[in-house]
Amino acid sequence: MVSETDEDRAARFERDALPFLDQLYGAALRMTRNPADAEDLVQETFVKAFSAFSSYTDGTNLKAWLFRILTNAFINTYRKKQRQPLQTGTDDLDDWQMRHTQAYATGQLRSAEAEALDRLPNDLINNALAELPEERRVAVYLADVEGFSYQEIADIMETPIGTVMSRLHRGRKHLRTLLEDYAITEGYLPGALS
Amino acid sequence: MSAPDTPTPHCSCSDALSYVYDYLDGEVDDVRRADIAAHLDGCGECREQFTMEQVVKSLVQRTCCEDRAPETLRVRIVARISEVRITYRRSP
Repeated sequence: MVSETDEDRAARFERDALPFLDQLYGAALRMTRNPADAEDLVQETFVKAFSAFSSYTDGTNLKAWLFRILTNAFINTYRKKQRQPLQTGTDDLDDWQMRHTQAYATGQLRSAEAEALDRLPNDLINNALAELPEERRVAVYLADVEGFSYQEIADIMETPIGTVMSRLHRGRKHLRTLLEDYAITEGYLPGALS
Repeated sequence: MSAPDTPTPHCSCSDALSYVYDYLDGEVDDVRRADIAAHLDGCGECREQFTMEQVVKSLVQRTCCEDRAPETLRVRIVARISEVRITYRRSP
């Protein structure tokens, strides 16, 4: 194998890794919920990625590799620095599920609901996402926005695939309940039980 | 939940609904996909549930795809990488 010069590696990094800047920034924004912190986190991610780039094998999944570094940096550096406790989310899924089932039992209401949610403005959806516990929020983001497979998310979050599925399941149920609440309070959907 | 090797021609509502996320995320095999699709063809209730979940998924996509990193961040990162390279070169 021909060894790569320092210059070649930097050029390869800028060509291959830097195009993921917007995507990593978007994810960082969801993780930190704050543009200034998101910028710091993305910068830290690229510096770490560049330092480790010689160990990255060309042809493997660069995007997943970068997201793994980002997620790691967020958990190990950023969150420790902020001295924030781990946000794991409580197991109150059943309450949401119950409420949801009671509120929208009929098919007619559900199709009105789908149309109402579709009309929600982006800032309300952002608020709802920001309310999700961190691990659920990240799992939902990685699946829905980046289209990573369950196995890729498991690798990125360094967690078993069953945990990924549970985070996605709970995260989406939670998100749907939050969106329904917004839709009602903001007048996009009539209160079903009122 | 039904065993993966014995798909029924028409899965039940609870079978279909237990796979709603796997189905929408493209995480089911072809046999189960066909099974669920056949169920959805004949079941309006489940079809609506699947549509709702797809709407929520699309909303997240729609909102988050707008994110753009500030141009100043790109400049800062390129500058930091150059610094890191120089530090490397100086170290023995």
